[in-house]
Amino acid sequence: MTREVEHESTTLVQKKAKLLELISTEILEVGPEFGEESDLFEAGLDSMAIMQLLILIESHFGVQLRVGQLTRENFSTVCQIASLLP
Amino acid sequence: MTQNGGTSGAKAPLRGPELSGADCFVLALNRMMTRNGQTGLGAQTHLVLAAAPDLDQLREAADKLGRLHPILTARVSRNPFTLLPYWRLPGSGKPLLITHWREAGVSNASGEAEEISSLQAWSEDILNRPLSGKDGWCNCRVDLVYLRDGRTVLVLTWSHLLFDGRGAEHLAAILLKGAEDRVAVVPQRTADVSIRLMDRIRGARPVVEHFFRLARNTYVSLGGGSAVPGRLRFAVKTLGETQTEAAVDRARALSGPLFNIAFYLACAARGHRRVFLSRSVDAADYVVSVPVQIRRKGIAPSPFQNSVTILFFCLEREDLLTLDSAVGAAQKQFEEMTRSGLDRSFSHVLEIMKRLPERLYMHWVGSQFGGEITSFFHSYTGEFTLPLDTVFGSRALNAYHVPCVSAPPGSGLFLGVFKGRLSVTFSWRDSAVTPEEAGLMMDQVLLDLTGEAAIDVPEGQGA
Repeated sequence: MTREVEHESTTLVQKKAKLLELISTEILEVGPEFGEESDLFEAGLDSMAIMQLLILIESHFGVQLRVGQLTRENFSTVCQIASLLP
Repeated sequence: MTQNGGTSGAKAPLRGPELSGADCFVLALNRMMTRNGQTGLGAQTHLVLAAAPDLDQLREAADKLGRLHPILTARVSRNPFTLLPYWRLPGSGKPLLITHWREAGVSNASGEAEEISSLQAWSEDILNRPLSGKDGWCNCRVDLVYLRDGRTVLVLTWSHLLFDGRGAEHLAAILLKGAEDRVAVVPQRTADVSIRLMDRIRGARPVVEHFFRLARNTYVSLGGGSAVPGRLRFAVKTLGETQTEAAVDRARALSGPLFNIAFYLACAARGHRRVFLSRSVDAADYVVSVPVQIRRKGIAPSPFQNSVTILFFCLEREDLLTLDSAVGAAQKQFEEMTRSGLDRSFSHVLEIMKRLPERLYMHWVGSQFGGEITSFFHSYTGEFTLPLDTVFGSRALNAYHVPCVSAPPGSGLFLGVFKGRLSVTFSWRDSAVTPEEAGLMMDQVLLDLTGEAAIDVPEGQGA
């Protein structure tokens, strides 16, 4: 693994961990079994929660997602959301 | 643990859970309504079934549900020291008794069924009476209506003091699973009790400033701000799957696939504008209170609580000229209000106001909004939470809510989805809206929802 790829995967891991923390502490009430691949909509993600999440993403990652990126598939798991973040 | 805390033999009244902030808003609204000759704020939830359900199973489940949850026949009291309202529970729960009704001409109904002219007329009649069951006072009653075409409708009629629409769905789900679920004695807390009063007052400031901004607008309701009783009326239209898909596509195109609050609100506002225009009134602004669920997401909920905060939108005349601009304005405000934390801020307001006597509560609301409460009531409850395809052996065809509305404002538009089909309920007081105006409203809303001018679905039947 080159250093760039290693760095990239490390930051992706960090993004996922941060997203998971934000979602489980500020957006949803989830148990310890909830993980990066868990279905967010099944866990109760709704319009209000998504808007709150977008605002948290903006303040913690400095990223404003484009309208075209706001799809159900892109918001289905923490992994999917993390992959949207540059 | 049950509502009576496991003391099933106790007969003396028990102190039950405190009311939530949103419950107290309903308490105050109830008082305003009953003082002005309107029945309190209630609603019905209709479950439309393909045929008659197994009556023995249904009776057994309703019996058990009533016994397990004395809150279904509890009354509200106020603690004289803290001034906080709470549920005063009877010492033990009473069985919920089911009443049977049959539309004229139905022959295969239960022998005890009383004849009614139609589901629509019967529902309106029940909603215009104080809530009581076979056995006297109650906060929730269960009826089974046999329709001419062989279908039946299981109807829950409930006081809004007990819960919101989502809570009613949870209770229906508990009933349909044989009332085996034993929900917690105290509803989950939707407010953090450790927050100090001064912090709450600080937290409430953004929404109070928002109210002052709103108060600069001149907005009206169809009822005109006066508390004139009038009979409660309603109409329900359920779209077909194709029409619902068209509505979902339009919502996706206008407000994105993840946010539908703005789209449905815009449709409701433009429906009201159409009625105002028919009166030759081009109202400048529409201020609309939209409830947003705050049940802690992801955990099994307790149904017995209104668990909402409220976002106050203001749509201006120019916003409503086209559906696109209406959705855009609502979406922008939704984002701004979430960003400013107005949802949490209004929860602080509701908590602070819990101690206010109901009369003062409504006086404050009236003074904030120039005598009006809102231009109209509106909510979108999303997918109906029903865990089973069959209800005591009978296939569930449709489910929707029929909320009451107070005057003022005199009207409300409510939407929800069951198995891929959208239902639209328009409720009004006949002191505020005429039947012709109700027709105009529905025409406009259905046109905006689907892009089609007319949809032929029987009223009040849904499926």
